[in-house]
Amino acid sequence: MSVTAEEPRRGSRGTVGVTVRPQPVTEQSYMESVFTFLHDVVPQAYSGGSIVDGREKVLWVRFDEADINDVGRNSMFEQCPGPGDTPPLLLTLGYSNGLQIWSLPESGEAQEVFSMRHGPVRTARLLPAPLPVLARRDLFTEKRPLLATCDSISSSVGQAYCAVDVRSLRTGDVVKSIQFKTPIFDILANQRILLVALQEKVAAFDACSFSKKFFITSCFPSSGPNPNPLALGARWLAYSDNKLVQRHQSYGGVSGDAVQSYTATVISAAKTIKSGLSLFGEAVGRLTGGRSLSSSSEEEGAIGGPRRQSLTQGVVTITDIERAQGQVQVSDDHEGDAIVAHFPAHDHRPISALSFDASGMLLVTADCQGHDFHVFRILAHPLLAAQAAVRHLYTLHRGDTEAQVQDITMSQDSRWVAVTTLRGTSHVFPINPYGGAPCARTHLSPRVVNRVSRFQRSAGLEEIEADIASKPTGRSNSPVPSLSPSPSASPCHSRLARQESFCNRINNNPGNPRLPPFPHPMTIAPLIQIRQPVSLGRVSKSSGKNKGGGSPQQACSKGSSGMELCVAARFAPSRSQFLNSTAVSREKDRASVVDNLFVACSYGMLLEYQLDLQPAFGAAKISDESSLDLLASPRCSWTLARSALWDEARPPFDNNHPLLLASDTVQAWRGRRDGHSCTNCGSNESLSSDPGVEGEEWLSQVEIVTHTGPHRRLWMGPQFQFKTVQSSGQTMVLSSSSSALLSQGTPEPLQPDIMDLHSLRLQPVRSDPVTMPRPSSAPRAAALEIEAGSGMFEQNSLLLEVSHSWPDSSAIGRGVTDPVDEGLRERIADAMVESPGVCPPDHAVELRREGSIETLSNSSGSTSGSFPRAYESYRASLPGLDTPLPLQDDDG
Amino acid sequence: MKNERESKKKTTKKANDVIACDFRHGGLKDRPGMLDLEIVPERSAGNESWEFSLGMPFAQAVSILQKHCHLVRNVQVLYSEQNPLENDLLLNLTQDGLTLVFDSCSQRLKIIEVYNLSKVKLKYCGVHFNSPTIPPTIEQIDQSFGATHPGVYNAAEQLFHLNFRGLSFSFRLDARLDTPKFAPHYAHGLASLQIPNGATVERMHVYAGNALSDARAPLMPPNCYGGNVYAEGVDVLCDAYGPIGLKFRLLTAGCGPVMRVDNKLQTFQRCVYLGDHCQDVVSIIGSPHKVFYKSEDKMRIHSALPHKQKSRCNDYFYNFFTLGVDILFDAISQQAKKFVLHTNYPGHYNFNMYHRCDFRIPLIPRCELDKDKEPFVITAYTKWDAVREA
Repeated sequence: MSVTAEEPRRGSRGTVGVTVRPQPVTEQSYMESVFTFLHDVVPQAYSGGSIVDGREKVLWVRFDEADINDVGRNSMFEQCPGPGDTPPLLLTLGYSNGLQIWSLPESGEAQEVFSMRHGPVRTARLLPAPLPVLARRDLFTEKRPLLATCDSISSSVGQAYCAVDVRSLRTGDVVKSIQFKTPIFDILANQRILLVALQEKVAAFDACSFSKKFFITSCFPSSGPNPNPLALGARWLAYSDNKLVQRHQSYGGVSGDAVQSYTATVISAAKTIKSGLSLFGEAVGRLTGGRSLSSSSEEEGAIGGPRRQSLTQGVVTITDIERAQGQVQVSDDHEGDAIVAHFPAHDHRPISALSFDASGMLLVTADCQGHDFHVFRILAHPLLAAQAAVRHLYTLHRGDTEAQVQDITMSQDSRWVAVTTLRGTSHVFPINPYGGAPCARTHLSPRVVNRVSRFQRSAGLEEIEADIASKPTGRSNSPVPSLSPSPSASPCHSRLARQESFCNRINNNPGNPRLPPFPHPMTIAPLIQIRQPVSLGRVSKSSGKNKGGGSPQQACSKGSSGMELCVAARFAPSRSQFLNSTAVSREKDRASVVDNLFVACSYGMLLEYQLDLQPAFGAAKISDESSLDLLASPRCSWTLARSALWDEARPPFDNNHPLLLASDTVQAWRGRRDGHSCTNCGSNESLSSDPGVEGEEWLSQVEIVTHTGPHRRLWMGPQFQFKTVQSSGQTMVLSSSSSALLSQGTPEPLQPDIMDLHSLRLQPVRSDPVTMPRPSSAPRAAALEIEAGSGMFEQNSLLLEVSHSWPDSSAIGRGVTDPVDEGLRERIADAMVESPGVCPPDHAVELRREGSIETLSNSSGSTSGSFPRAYESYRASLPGLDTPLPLQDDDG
Repeated sequence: MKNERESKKKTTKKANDVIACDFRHGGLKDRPGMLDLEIVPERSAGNESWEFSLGMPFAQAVSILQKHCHLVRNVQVLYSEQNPLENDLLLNLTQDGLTLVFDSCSQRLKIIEVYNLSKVKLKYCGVHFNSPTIPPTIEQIDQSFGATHPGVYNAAEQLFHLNFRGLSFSFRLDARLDTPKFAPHYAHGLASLQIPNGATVERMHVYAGNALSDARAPLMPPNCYGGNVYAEGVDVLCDAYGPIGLKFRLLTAGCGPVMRVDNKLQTFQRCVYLGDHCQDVVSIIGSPHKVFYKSEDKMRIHSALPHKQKSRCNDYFYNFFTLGVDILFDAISQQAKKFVLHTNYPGHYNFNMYHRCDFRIPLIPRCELDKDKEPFVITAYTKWDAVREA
């Protein structure tokens, strides 16, 4: 019917354990699961069936990062691009009697890489190999990979779950055991440190030696499934702080007026719900009835228990683990060197979950009510947290019922967020790493597009919007009504208000992204909610768009504590491609836009959902800005729960065990440049015979476009005109004084020194384009690029067809319409000025005017014509070189 | 009140004024939108909402001009095509009689020159000394500034220079009447006594330092930082195999609502290496101004390795405009894999997007024989020909 229990194959002893092949979720079972979903509050209806008997009880599931899926250092993923490129998923299952780790490579054959039976395990983490830093020597090179576990039996102090055991998978022995006085909630690790989360405390240990590095004692506890929420990036640790210290507070933080925007969201969501009128009415009714957010949450608080009293804080501190030493705290009498940012993330509600994206620049936070999740972009300052800024990009609105968040995951490209609640529902939200409305343009492309589309840029819309945004601050004495936080905001916004009034004074500041005003956060509703049934081991799903929240299903299952389910989700490329080859081609077409979502639940099932993204149905025409529709369909499933019959797969492992192999390659990695130098050596060999190779390689590394240009370049005018000065051996002071010589006679005093751009073409110094460097001339050409004067012209006439009707330009144009006359006047002026005592500047070069400067400012056509030609001649004279690069305009 | 006083002053020397007006101003019309600048010697020229400070980077001055494009209509950017480093980079505000002189190497403001005083109103300590109604005569200058030095006569230019610290005025003499009196042998020391009463200021310079001739662009004043981080210099770090990272000498000054301790200028050194994670880079040198997602890779076609034709999509640049540096990150591993250093020469397509990066790239000699030689260092001012020879 759904999952057929194929007899798992056993690998050879010492390498891998069981291998499980994916099972297709057939169309039939899919239909059925939709049906059952509607009734899943009545467990008796379908309790018979698919769960395989004899499976051990899974307590928790978690996706993990370790050496085996470290794309940065594991050269296996660099050398073979293409199908083998995707790192395996690592899934850890905690049992009441032990632990199990699965690796799921792209082939789809899940391998059991670790399995042990020894009492309940609270948490476990594979430790990545530490970064190779000269100052620190890894004491455990021979022992890696290491696995840190916290289980009930190993602690000697008597209390359970109070010790971390670090076990070598290579030798099987426990290489380190760290004892604590209080129970451990979680273990986190990256390439620098091992973190242990305790009650309101965090202890950090060096990854090389497991010596104490720093500790935090000021965490604010959460009432959710994770009592001490932490997020660990490559270098930053985000934790929930117990106070807000103004001295260190960063600019920005949670924007206080999210409440207002709910109504708009509900209405826009309801537009897409055809039969959802009653729901719509209900939701709006609740929202418009006064401060609906607080009132509705009050009701639910009655069910939710007494935790409402403890609502406070919601402050997040991000520390730099490289700089952190000793006790890390945010306080007034503390310099706070190690603090990256310190900001309010939720108004008076404790943080219950935190997560960085892959780049570590986005932080998603959830509070204990779980109505809304916030997406922040961290803009750090190299010295001070108080100079850093935190932009509130999105408010992800899950619903108005209470829910506890247990897992937040983001796709590799940071365009999708999946937040999983304790009820087993994964809410999938589209976001952009730079903010703004997710739309067809940003999400239907397989790659991340830039914030500003070509259309917007060429029309100058960005500048216009920026103007509008800065308008309130431009008026010097206005109280900044639209940008100030709403009165309902907490006192933690007092600094914000000051920031914005300060901003009035500095409106000339050249774009510092860390300074307010910041754009308003956008409220986003989930595109899809994927639900694992709470009560039985059956697959079901919901694709309903109950964006307004308060769907009946949710309401029914709410509040019953027995219906909590541990679910973990992860975006990853499909693992089911090899399942049935007929689907491959069809799938390839679509699969690349969104990664598939892998959901593991504590029934020991792993499901792969294919996410199909389309422009919203019903839109009049599909444009760049159309909203999106997401369809999720389960592709296949893996039954990973351990059967009582299975043997353990416990260390020591053979050297060809996947985890050991990965650890070896990662430890052999000594920086990216080593890889480079290897290829360089190789190419040096061939270089002697074929000098073209390295030059070609060099050429392929040249970057043409590195930034989003403004819609008009400075030299496109009309306010600015570019003119060149003939070098005549004079210093500038003299040259500027010579400018005065003509100031009486001619309206444009600097004329004698100026050649207009057009006439420059006639200069004898006009050069041939400089050729690209030959390999022989640049010793380190392959790795070191000297790209001077990266010429790139947008021939897109759109950019140049901008109004030339500068109000005053007509007057100027009239003054010089007759070029011959003008030239004559200049010569006369020259002659008049030449007095015996004055040595005129070098006039060897004849002035030739062909009316070109004026055409530069008056006609858009000639702008594109004359400047680049002048540029061509300019290239040769630059201190540097230039290359005849292909013309191009950016953005897709 | 101020005007009253000034008008009184004016009546006392009305005769001179009339001559001056006829000669220089051609009328008393106050052009609408005429710039009204407060002059601070050695520091700046500006008004209450913006100012050009000596030491200000070129891009910042441009940004001020762009913001006030309704006031400042025509700006000429003057630079040397052949030899961009030899001649200073100028911004000539043709309608306002103002030239901003930027040092061609550092691209910071060196001199503010007013070459036509009839097009602009000037104040010192809140009091006008030049406007359509107040001609900048020698008496007016004396009264506003209190001359302490004698003027210096420059026969070649036929100008009298009256110098203050960080400020100088040049007076033109009426050639028909005055020149004979100021023959060179008179023009030492005592000549200032003989600046005729009618002389008006021909040009005015604001600069840092003692004399106009050796004016240097000062360091960037703290109020120009606006919380941004600027690089004093960037060294490319190399090991035996090639470049491994960048060493930044950074400058920043905070901008806080109140005068706080961290508003003062701070200098520090930071290193970024290839292979650093996003979070590393942002911790070390701060967040970028913009992020640019690489949309296509046309140069990929030149690659020798065919499989690279399939470009790794989604690589992204962090644009540090004030540092003049771009850092390319790998989309998958989020590690830095390429640095782009910008020289920001006028005439370049991207001119005025990036601050000039004052970099030093030592070239490691390839063959053993060259080991003893001083390594050739490429800077932002090295010509390509020199690089070729090395």
